Amino acid sequence: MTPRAARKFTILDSMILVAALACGFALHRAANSVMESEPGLVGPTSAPGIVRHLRQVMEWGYPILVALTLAVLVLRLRRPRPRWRRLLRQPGMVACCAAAVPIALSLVGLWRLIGVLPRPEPSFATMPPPRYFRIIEVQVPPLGEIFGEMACTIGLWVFGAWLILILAQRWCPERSAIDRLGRIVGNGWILMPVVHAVSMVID
Amino acid sequence: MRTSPRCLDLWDAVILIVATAAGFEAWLVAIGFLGDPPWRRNPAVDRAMHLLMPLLFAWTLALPALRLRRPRPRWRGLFRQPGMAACAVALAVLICTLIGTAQSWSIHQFRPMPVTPFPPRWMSSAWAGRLPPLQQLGRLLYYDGLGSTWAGPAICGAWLTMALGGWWRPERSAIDRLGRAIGVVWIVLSLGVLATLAWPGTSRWIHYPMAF
Repeated sequence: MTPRAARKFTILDSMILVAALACGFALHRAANSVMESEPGLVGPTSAPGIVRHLRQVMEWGYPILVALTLAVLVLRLRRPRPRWRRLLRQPGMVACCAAAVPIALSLVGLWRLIGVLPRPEPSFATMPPPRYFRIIEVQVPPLGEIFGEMACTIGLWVFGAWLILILAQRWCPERSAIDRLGRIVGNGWILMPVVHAVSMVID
Repeated sequence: MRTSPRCLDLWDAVILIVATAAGFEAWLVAIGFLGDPPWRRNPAVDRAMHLLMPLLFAWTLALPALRLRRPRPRWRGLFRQPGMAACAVALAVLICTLIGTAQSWSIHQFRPMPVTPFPPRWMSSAWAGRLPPLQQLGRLLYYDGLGSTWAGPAICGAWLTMALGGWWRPERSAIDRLGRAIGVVWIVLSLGVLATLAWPGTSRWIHYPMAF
């Protein structure tokens, strides 16, 4: 049986991608409302400057990659698509499937973390808190470090999935835009632990 | 053609005993020479890791050696066995982590100790600035390299891929069962560490500067 031609990239696919990117930016904004970003760059060629650069890469990379991963999964599952067994030999699809589980876990963790942090006060809150409340100061690391650690775990899931695909000789990439996008997303996730490690070494 | 699974023989037992002895030796050296572990996360999780890590690392090294002795399945079939897959992936991650840790030590060994609520990874071994260089390297490799538990997520990814792709082929043999057990322990350790990340009360991300 000759392999079926790969599905073309349609306007609906690009709309799904744009919507996913918007969700990624919304996720960054929601997290940034209770956790601080890295402070502004000071001396970008110095060691602290490079570390801040790398943490900003992780801060923006995590939400964008989360959004793209879920979008590629949706695109890949739209018909017409190859059979399930063939689909799970494509590195792009494997990367997105492997990343989906830790993404769900990390989002639950992020939700819980946001739950214990103090919310920003609305502008109309002029009354002081009642005296029987105890004020607790909470310190968390910058958003880039938290996202970096989460992205590390996801990157390792993708690394394990791709390594076993290669070792078992089941790496069969498809010559299509969707699988290429999936491979780019997978490479992005695998780069995250590297970026995280480099930032820790320089720090 | 499917070959019947190989039984454990005397050489396999010797390899396993040597690996276990090496693991215990590393643990004893760590207790005597490297000092107390840096309690970065939940103390119970850290204590379990401190005991298990050298043994687990030794067995992760030993199992591929057992599996690669003849008679063995073909290369493709070898990595469809979850035990061998877990050990191969864990080994790759551990080697990368140990190299990265040694690299960070070589860069930072002469730096003064920073004062910060979120110390960088290379500083997690508490008195890195005050110990002799060899001891610093030992602490970093033992507590931060082996104790990073980065192997667990990679094993999860590999096993998920095998299960979803329909090529999860466990062998009814002691060697593959041991490999699966090693994979499960790596995953449980990683889950223990993950649970201490964002959970209030045990989180290492949330710091409460005021006593309350």
